[in-house]
Amino acid sequence: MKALLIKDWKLLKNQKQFFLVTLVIVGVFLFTSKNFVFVVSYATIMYTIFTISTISYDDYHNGMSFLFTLPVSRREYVVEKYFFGILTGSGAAGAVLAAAAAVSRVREMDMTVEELTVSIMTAILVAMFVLSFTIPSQLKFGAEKGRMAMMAVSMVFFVLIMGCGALLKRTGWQAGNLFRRVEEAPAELVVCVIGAGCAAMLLISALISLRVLKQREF
Amino acid sequence: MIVLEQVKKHYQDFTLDCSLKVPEGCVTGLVGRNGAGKSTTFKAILGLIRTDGGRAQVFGKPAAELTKADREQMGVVLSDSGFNEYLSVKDLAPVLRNMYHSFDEAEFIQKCGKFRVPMDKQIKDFSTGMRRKFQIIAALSHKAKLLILDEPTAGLDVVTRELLLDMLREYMEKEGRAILISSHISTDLESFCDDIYLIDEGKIALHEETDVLLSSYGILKATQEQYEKLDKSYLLSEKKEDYGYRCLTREKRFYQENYPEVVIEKGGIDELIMMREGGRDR
Repeated sequence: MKALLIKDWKLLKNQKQFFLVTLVIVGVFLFTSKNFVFVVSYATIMYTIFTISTISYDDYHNGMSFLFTLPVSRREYVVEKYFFGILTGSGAAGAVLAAAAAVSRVREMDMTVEELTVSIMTAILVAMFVLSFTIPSQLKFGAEKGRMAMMAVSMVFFVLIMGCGALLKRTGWQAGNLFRRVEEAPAELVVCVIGAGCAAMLLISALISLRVLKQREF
Repeated sequence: MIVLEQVKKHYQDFTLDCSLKVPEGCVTGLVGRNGAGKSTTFKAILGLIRTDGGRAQVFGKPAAELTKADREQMGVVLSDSGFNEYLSVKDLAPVLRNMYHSFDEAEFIQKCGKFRVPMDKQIKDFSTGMRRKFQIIAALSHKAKLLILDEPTAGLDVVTRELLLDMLREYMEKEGRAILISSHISTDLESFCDDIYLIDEGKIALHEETDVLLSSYGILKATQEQYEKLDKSYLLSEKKEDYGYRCLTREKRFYQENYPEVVIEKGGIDELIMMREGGRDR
């Protein structure tokens, strides 16, 4: 897996424009925004999405058919993509969070532990969602069709959430109650529940990706 | 090293039904027209497609069950695919180092220099020739036991082609190795292969040792009158031409001795392929 990680790291390093644009946007938000949740989430998601781009790069000009003639198993490829996504996403989240902490001192802003926790948890949660949905669809449909499949999934997801919301409203249930309960719950418990949820989601997604890749012919 | 026994793969408009063997110490050529089934055969051997029947074995194992250790013993060049094109050779060196236990980085870099393969340029900006050179150098860089080369010399000039073929000849000097190679350039295969398989419409139409192919096979160009008098026992296939008949034989000498008036040309890979086009098997 080390060889694949090096390959993806080299791909990431070659994307200087991507680095520069992300850096400028993060810088602008750090010095203008009063809430850092967005900027941490933005950087995390951007770097996580890069993992999806590496699949497109691997697939370019039938590249994957050659890749699987090398000592690389399909299982190893799938595991590496998730690992690389978590690594780059959490690396970006950590770096931007550290930068945010430093900037908040310079700007004499108070950044509480709660704010930090919310920032990083939101970022990781969104990044894991992105990884879990995009990797299998990218492997199944490729770059172009994968994007369309993702849009379709997002729309279905959106409709489902709206439908559930409407249904719950009818039954007299209020979403605010849930958020209040979450706020009142011990932070450790919230972190554990979200962490376990992310892990389960990633595991299911990885199993689907592996099945998709094993069935694929080159 | 490679055994294919009636390996089948069905597509909508094409069916592969192929049997071939690549023994240790041998260079085996696979020839045929575009779309004859060469690349599908390579893919079946490499486990890149699921076959619909038959037996495909590499190193005595089913192709679909090759392990990482087995794949370390293989060097591959594919005609329509290669390394990630957004990387440079310099980027790929550490990848190969971590992929193959026997990767010889010093020799790899030295050969890239010798063949003027740019180290810092992304592969997508390489010319076809450069890509091929790099792929062959990479395939040879980790002391593989088996090379599987699909059109490795396509797009190369004559000098580079000869240099690369010399590298492959040098590779074969060590015992326990084998090569399966396909090429559109018949002279490359005639001078390099021990035996040759001709594939046509997904089936192996002919298998012969190269020496026999070059010494015993011939093309008879007979007029209608000459054709009628010919002993047809040793004709493999024939094709109607404006002047009469073009016939393929495995017994060139027999016809040279008994029919001196008939024009007989040397049989080679190109002639074999040409005879498949519109020819009729006897």
